[in-house]
Amino acid sequence: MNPLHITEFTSDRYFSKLRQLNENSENASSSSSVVPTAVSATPPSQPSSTLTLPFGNPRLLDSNAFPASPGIRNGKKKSLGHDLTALRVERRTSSNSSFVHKNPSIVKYHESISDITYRDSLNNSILGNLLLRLPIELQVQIISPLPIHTILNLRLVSRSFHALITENESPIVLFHVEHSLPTYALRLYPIPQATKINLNYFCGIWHRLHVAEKLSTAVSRQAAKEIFLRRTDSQWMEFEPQYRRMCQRLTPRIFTLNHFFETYRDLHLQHLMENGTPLRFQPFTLNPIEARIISSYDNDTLLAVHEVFPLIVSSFSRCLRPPSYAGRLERSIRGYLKDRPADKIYTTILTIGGLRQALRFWEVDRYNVRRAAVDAWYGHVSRSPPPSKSLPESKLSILRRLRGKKSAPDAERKHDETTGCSEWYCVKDTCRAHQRLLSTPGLLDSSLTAGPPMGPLSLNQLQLLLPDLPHLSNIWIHTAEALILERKIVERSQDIKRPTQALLDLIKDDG
Amino acid sequence: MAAEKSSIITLQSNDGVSIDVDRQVAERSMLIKNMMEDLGDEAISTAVPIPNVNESVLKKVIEWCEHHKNDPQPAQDDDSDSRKKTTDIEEWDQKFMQVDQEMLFEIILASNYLDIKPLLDVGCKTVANMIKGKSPEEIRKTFNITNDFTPEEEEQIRRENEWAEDR
Repeated sequence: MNPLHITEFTSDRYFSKLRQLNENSENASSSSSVVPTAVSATPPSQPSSTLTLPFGNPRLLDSNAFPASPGIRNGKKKSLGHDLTALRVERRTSSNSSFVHKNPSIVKYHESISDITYRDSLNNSILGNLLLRLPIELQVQIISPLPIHTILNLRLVSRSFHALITENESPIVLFHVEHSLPTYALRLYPIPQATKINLNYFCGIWHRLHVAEKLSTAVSRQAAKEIFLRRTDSQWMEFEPQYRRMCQRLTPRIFTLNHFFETYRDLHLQHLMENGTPLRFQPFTLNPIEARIISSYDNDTLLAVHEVFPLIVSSFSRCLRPPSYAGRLERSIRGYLKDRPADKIYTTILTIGGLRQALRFWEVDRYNVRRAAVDAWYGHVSRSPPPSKSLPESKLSILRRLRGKKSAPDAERKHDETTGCSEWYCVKDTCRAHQRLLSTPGLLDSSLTAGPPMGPLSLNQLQLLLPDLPHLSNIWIHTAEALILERKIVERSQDIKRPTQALLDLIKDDG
Repeated sequence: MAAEKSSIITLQSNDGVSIDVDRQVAERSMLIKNMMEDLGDEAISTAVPIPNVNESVLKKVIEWCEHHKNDPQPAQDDDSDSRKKTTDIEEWDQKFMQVDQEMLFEIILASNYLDIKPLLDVGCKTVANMIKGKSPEEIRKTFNITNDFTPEEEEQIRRENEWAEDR
């Protein structure tokens, strides 16, 4: 039997070939009586209808058309179908005959898929099943090298594919840990013990890498515009290589900094939960928590991050200030009335929300909207119990909607309950995103259900942390500098590069 | 050694068809190679049954082995990264793999059984390329799969996917 040479499955050409095969009565022995009807029953003008084809009715198949189909040994094929002829004949015949069965029995398919033995589905020629029937090690070999984005998409294809990915998280993740994670990421988040190698671990790093990359792009773009003053297109074109180098060099440093804030929040919270003396009552020259985290960085990393730290923080604070070019008149016309937020707010964003929260604000388009988002977020985080009226943190579309509806709080609440907001960090009690985190595990839960790193804190945790936050000017700088000198990474504090020098180094072309 | 290489082995598919193959070609299959080494030369005179592979698939596999008979044998514990990492397929193999999906999956199963790693790789990569970069809906179309999630379930999974890439 000649194989069907096709360019694409379910293309018109495929079906014309299939029909041709039928007419040539390849399967004359078994289906000569069926084929003519099948061909005439196929509306040639509607190729789209063929997409639902393979849901044949197996019972009908067995009893009428193909009584002689050999070797239907149920249950055997799932374990690798070593009886390939039987499989082959069976699939071919049923796919031919499915032209006859105009009513695809989708329900039947679902039932059979959920049936662990796959008994009933064996007769259905559903091509996705070809993949699902392969031995697990082959499935893993096929899936693992796919880009992580595609693997995540596979989870959305169907229940069976979702299960396939969820069951094989660990080998898939191991492959990607080896091939698609940079070493600096693995140094900060070492591979956990075997039972914890899952998509949550991998995607957590993936998520942080995305945050670092976006932030470094934002910082670089701002520096190019406001420090290097590349404003016209031609200036920008000419600056492009430097800009790219800057992004590239900033990403690992910002990734490390993100690790710093994330770990700091965890350790600080843990310290307070265990009834440790709050930092504000402790006399210290070096913040012990910071010192503990920073001591885990190697010399090069520490120095590199330290040199760009002022740049990153000032860059962030600049994006929350009114545009500097706007004079008093322009400010009042444009409504840039708000001043920059207090230092305390910056500190809260960085230490409670982390760099990801900073990025969220950064990505908000216009200054006034951005400032409003910051105020709303801060108001929510620093609210006193019971929460009087809480706003979702930074989902601005919802924020705006809420503002418009201020007069009707009930309607607003109802609205939120039904739609929820798509924000993982939403800590609103009525929000579905929040409720889902508290709900009992569902059938489709995987390691990803736990949510991204640095999730929202509870009100209790916030109340512990908020009064104990360090001052903005104390974060990182002092501890890092002291440790750099102590570890003799450089001899004198003057040898640490000043921000301007560090900035020039970031764009320097060193071949 | 040279005489051995030119000798002929008869393979018998599970539907009873005998196919004569150069020993060098047949030994692309580690299964056959090891069997030959274990059994010695007298085994050559009898047909080797390949119980898991039918004629058309076996012929296809042999066609591949013919074309690749002069390739260097892969190292025994070949799990090299480059091999797995890339989804590039050389042109001849791409053409070779332009078969219908059933045949494609049977070639994969056969090469797994016969232990022909390079062919297995090509097969797996071919399937991977059918999936790569596609949206869930496109994957469903390619493999003719029905979406059996409820809207809520789909929403939950989409949300989980989104945080992973910080979208």
